[in-house]
Amino acid sequence: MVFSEIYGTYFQVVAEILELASREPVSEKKVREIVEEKAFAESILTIPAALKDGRWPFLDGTGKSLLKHAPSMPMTMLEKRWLKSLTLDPRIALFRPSQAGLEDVEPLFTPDMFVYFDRYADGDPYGDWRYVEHFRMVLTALKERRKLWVRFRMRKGKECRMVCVPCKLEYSPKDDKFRLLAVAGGRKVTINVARILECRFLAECETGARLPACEKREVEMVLTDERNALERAMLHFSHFEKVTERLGEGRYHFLIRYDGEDETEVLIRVLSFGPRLRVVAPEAFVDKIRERLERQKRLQG
Amino acid sequence: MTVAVHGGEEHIVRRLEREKRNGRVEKLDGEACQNVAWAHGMSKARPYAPKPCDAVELYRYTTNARDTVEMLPWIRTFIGRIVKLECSNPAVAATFENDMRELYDAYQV
Repeated sequence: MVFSEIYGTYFQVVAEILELASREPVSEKKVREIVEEKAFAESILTIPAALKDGRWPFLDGTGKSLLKHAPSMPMTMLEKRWLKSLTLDPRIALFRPSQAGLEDVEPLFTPDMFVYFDRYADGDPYGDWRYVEHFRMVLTALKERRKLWVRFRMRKGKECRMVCVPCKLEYSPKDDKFRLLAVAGGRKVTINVARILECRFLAECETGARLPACEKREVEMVLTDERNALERAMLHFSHFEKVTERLGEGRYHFLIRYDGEDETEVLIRVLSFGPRLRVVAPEAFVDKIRERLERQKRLQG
Repeated sequence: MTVAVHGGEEHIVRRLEREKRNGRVEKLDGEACQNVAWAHGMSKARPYAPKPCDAVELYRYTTNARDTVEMLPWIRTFIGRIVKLECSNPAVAATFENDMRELYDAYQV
């Protein structure tokens, strides 16, 4: 492994406690606050007790650190080379990560060493200065809660202009695209960053904007676990809320919840599994599958 | 794989171009489309009424792949449009036809 466990959550939380304890005695209440904020839910059962009863002998009876110095977390050269490689990824570079301490470090690998054989052809142009400029404006607007005026090209080539309140930036690894999710006129809008032609900052938002809730739909299916269908389905639908229930030997009831606007995408994903995944409800979804099958049957004669 | 694209379905052609990986997409000539127009337009819910914009175009996707069986999930995403599927590995076309028969049975088509 490139990174040691000393960069894990437990070590980081205890390091923070000890860093504070090196300056002034730290109370049990303060220890609990740090653990609750920075560690896992169950860590509250472990870390404070271990520090208090001496299993982890780092604090004296008054809560002062027994260490001479505040803990530091130095990185190995291998770890620095790994981080340098990550900063060379054109997607990460969009976020302008700090290069402090990595200036003279040789990367472990460079992006050109990878050959992608299973990627869509129209990923975002990370090298295009206009794309980078628009991306960073969107990111700034998100961080500073500012409204944006955006001019962008829609799906069929038509231009659109709107004032929007940026809410989220999402990345699709399948399409290799960044998308801005925003609110405009009370409605959710999705804008591909690569389609932005022009954007300008407007006044700051007065209140935190929230994306309106999308209509959620459900589709129920029966999965037959042949040709590794269960594992593939769990992977393929991993980002959907789902309920999976074993019905019997190699058969599962599979329910997923999705945004109504994604229905066509869900439909073709279901079709990609062929007879291994059969839709049983709702009837409207079954009808859509049936319509495609009917068309296919006529085409095949 | 030969795919039928109805008028107003340019997004299907864009999807083919986007998802073609190392393959290529070519549009086929007009005559080949005529036979497909009737079958593509008819449905129980929407009886076919010919209009000038109802032209059907055929696009052929061709590729060389090491394991063509792995392509079947992607091929199935075009169900409803696949006019022809040919492969040097006979198992691929056979599996596809078998899967389609199972689907027709399962959904009572």
